[in-house]
Amino acid sequence: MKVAITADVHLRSRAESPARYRALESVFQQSRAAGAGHVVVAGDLLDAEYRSFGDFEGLCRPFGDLEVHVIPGNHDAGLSERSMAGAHVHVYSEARAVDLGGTCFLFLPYAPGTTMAQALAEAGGRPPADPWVLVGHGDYYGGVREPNPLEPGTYMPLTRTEVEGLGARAVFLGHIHKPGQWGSVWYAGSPCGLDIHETGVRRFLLYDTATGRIEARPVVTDHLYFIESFVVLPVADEVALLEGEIARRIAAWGIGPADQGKVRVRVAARGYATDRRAIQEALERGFRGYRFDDEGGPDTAGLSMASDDQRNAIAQRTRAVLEGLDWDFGGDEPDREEVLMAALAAVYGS
Amino acid sequence: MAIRLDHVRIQRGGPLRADFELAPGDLNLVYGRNETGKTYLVEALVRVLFAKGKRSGAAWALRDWDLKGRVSVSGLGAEPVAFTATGRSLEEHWEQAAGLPPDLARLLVVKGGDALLAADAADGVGTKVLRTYLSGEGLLDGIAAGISATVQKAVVAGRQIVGPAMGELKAREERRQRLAQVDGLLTEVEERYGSGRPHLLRREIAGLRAERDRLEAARRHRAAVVAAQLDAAQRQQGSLPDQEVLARLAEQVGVYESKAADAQTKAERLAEYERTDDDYGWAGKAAEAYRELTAGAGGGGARPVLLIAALALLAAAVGAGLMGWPLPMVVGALAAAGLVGAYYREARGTLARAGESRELERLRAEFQRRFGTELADRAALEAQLARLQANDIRAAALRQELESARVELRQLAPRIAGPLAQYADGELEPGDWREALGRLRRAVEAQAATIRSLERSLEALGVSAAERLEADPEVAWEPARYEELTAQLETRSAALTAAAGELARLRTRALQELGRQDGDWEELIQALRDRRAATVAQYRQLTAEILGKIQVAAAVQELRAQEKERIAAALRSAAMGGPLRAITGRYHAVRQGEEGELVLQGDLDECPLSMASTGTREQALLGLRLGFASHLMKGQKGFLILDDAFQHSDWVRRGNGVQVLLGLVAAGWQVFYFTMDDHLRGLFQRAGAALGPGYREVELG
Repeated sequence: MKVAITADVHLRSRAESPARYRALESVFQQSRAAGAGHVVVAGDLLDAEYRSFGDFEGLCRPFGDLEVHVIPGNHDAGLSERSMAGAHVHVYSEARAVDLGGTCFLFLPYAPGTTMAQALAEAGGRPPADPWVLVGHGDYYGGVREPNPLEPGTYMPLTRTEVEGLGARAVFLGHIHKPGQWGSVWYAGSPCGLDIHETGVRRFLLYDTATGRIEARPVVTDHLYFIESFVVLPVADEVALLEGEIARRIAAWGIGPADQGKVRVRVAARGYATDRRAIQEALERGFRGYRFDDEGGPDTAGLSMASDDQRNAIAQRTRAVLEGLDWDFGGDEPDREEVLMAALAAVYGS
Repeated sequence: MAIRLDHVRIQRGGPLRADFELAPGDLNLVYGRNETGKTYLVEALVRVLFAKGKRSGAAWALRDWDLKGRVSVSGLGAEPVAFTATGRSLEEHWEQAAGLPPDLARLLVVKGGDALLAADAADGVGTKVLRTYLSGEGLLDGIAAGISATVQKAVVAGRQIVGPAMGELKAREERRQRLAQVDGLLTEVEERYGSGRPHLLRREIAGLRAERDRLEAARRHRAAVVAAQLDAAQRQQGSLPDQEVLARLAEQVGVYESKAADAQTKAERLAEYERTDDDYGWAGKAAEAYRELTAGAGGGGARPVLLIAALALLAAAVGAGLMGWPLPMVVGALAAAGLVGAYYREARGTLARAGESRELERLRAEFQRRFGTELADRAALEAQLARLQANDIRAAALRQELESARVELRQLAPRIAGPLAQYADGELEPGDWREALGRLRRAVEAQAATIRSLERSLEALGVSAAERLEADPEVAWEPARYEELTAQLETRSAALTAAAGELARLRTRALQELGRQDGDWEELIQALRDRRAATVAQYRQLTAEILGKIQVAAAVQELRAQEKERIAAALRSAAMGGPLRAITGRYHAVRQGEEGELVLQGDLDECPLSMASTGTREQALLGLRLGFASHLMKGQKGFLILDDAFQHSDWVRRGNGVQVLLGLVAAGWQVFYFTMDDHLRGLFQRAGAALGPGYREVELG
């Protein structure tokens, strides 16, 4: 049997957030099509301070063949089993182990000022059944290290050591909207990007209880957010190079022509160009057919003019040298663009 | 589009007596005698237009005048740009807008009539100038100068930056270690805070404590039960005699039994004596009769006095015996025996002499029956009578003793029977006393054992009287389980204490790291995450700078290797040859000699620049200056500020120079010439007349 997992839907009323309802509806539809009998929402079903459940029940009503399992997240204060009228919608306000297709799902709702390990201890530890899966809502300390600008602070954390000691086949967490995976720990991510920072095609997860296999499925959403940043070098064919890079970036989005109208993209160029206007035009041309997030179009404020052929030659040569640099870019180390920008600063003296 | 000065306004100051204002044309002459402010104006233009200090492309030797002015320049963008002494410099503008190098500035100004580009070079130009303006080597030097020696020595190998442990590399390593330190602390804090171990321990401890508390209640209740049992046993012990009473009773029973046995013995002896009472009576009568029977038979009979004396002595001996005088008793008895023996001998002689008679025979037969011996004579009878009489005396004494003993026993019996009756439920016969005492002793010992056992149990429970619990907690007291729970509690409490201690130490470290006095864990973790993010940002930035500069240094090294080719190509270019030919009229190109010196190339000859005549050299240097500028500006035109550049030329070359300037103006250059020389003024005025409105002349004074 398959179990669908999503999280961080942040529903308000259907009128206020129609896209989020349609994204969740897409999850339901695809779950049904995939033969999944259960859909798990790992917290933050509702947006902050929102307390009306009628629209969500209306969404669930046509999907009576799906058992919907919800744990309250940090935005779901007041959400409980009694909140929902539908018999096939289960809200776990307290830790509960439920057998889904022969796999024990331990639903651990969000609780402020505590950790998942403490909540697990309160619940009597890991369930005796095997295999078992943990569903929670909070920060995974073994994963993302960058501060969460949307919700700074610590939310019911789970440590890597605890995960290693749990023996769970999989851990599905909500709270972090960016999809991610660290070992057996998965963040399904928000099914519908809430703003421009939640980029890319959104997804939900399908868990096969028989094999333990986890598969990501794209969610059909009303809009798709992307952020693209380009480093420009002042070379004779700077526009052509940029156009090629734009084409590669768009191809990497992995969307079809039908989704083109859903895209909202934030574009920025930095570095040095011999013709800033040409670069601006190339960016506008390259993303024609897509809607810019910023009304002003591409942001070229970080792009400087550089018509000194000698410096430009040095910059070009520097980039060529950088291309051959053997370095672990990313993580705590700078990425290639940062190094290039630093090199350009050394060349152009700014 | 040419870079031109559209308007110049310099406030009076120093030797300049009036504000200077000029809307420049193509060729502009500023004439003034000494001390009219000519040099002041040149320096004012330099100060207003060009950068000073580190960012300057030229080492301007400016006087310390408080210069103020405003110059409007076109050709830098869509609109003219106004420059002041305190605003952005022209280099910044043309570097950003037109991509021109800062070094261009020194080409556009010839100050104090010095046309040399390098005073220390034999040819007035020098290799450094060539590298600066033609090969970009100067630019390379400038870029390299922005890269520290430490980074220039560094390389990337095995995805590591390898180089001297100083400068930026040292700083990067320090930031890396700092990041590792913050990272380690954050990881430890997250793990410890997020760990369920302390919580689990607390839960286990709570469970163990609850169970132990129930057992503790069971113990207190058990103590109450045992105490009650002990109390009952002690009360029961009070109904039994104590050991002292028992000992006293036992002693009394012993005394009683001893006395009773003695009385019994005496009674038996008395009975035995009393059985001869009949014989004693018969023997007395028989002796009387025998005497009568034997009195007529001749001779005198035995003397009775002997017998009386013997009896008296015997009585005295008995009395002495009763009084406890052994010696008189023995002497009396021996004397009595001697008198009886003497009487027996006399009586035996008398009887022997008496005849047998019928009575006598009867006496003898009776005697035989009673005493088992033959009555041989009267003496024998008398002897027998004496023995019987002695027995009678003894019996009388015994009777007295027996009576005393019986009195004593009657007095003793109640003192024993009374207490025994109290403990043994009823009166007992003396014969049952010892057995009753035994039973009592065993009962007392058993009760004492019970009490001792209960006392030990109570003591073992270790519960004070105040702590005893009457209410039954309905849990059985299990000492072994209690000990087990206590041991488990100690183990877990120690583990929790250790965990709490580690957390406390960790919190202290976190507070120290963050420079805080207080804060809950979630605040500390967020602050540590922020600290980590800031540390990572610093580390990434510095690493990017180092890596970027290493790549730049490598690119510079590669480009340096191509320096000679680039200089040669630039010297051959039309940008260099054009101005040179225009000014010298003879040389159309220039090349580097074997030693790097410049050689002027004419149609028919060559001449090392250092060997050229002063006039030719000045012309060539001006031509080269304009060539370098054209090269840098890639054909774009600008302005020239010449402070009496021709003042050292002869009259002919002055005319040529002015003509060259006219040629430059025609090519699109804007020229400002400052002079105090009337001859040059005349030359410019004549040349300017041909330019019409493009010529401006200002006289200072």
